[in-house]
Amino acid sequence: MKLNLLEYKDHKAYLVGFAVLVTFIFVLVLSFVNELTKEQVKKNQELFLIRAVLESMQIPYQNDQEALTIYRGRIGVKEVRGKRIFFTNPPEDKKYAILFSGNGLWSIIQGIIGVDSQFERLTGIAFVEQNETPGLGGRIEEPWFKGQFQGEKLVNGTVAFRTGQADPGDRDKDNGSVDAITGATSTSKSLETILKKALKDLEERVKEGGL
Amino acid sequence: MSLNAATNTTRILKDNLFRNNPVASQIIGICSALAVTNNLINTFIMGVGVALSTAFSSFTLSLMKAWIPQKVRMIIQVLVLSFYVILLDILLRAFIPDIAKALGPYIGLIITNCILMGRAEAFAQANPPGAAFWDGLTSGIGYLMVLMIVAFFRELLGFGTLFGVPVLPDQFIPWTIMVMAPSAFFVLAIYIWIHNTLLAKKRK
Repeated sequence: MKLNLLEYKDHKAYLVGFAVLVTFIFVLVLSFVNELTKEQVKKNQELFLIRAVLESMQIPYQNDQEALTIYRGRIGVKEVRGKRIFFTNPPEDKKYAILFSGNGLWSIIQGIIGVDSQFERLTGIAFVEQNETPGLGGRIEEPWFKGQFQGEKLVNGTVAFRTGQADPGDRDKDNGSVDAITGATSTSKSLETILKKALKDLEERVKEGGL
Repeated sequence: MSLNAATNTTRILKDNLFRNNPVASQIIGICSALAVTNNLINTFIMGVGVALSTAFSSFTLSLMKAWIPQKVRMIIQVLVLSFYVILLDILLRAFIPDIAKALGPYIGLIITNCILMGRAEAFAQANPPGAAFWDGLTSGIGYLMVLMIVAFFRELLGFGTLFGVPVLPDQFIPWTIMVMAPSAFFVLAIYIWIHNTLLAKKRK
């Protein structure tokens, strides 16, 4: 006699067995795919970081491959008291950068900020991860905004965010301030706080680490 | 393909794009329609993502339908559609990381998109796999179509660009409201108004 499982479809054991089996199969496939792509995803994340480090130090590159080569040859990294500090290897002009991370409006803002050897001027800023409101806080990724940081003089060890016009932003490189983003007060305020702390962390750690 | 099947295929397509469009007629999937439509590129990827996940989850559920006990029907549906959405998320993160980064949490949120569940309940559980696939795909395209129209106006007026390329003169002052979610309500509402007025006219 052939056993027809479907006749037991409303039986509790069938219900439980079916749910367990289906869940098992789907989750198995997912974990398999996840395992297969894990390396690639990790590599992509590394690459985001590497591109951000180079961008913050104003080191130009043509493509991802070149970015990787430059990074491996010219940039050193050291972890001091739980923070990653990046620096250019000699004989280049010494530049330092730090991976910062803090709460934005919606989620974490993570990025890199770079300074020159004397801690006198910023070299630039780049973001690794942010989920601010597109078109408002999300504009921190726009070139006019990031461009304001290049060569900006540090006053009291940080940069201030002021109310201002959008594009082209604050072009005065000696006033120690940049224009915040109109309509994105929370993002601007958070970023200002995050950067203030990051720059302090960087300076302390460069001294401590003897870099 | 028999004549009957062919007319059926066209009918499903027309239904899902116009008469029964998920966003404009059934008013479902609105949440993401508000969230991602201020930029055409993101909208496009999102729409394709929804179309593919709806198509494949409907297909799979239709294949499984004889074995699914009624009591756990919806749990199984959610399981299958989460499976495809997570798969999509993993693949995007591995192969087009820049887009994955831009879409952020919205890809994962496709799971909660009512269109997927709606098609699974309304169509896939009573129709053969091929038809279910087609129904899911066309529903997703119907969603994509409406979102692209909304995104067209929002990106044009909010940024002065289309697909990231500036198209309006420099003197144009972007409408900040268009970038924010509330504007999608206005644009979408106007679209639904026109869509339904035209449909009503046609019916007469």
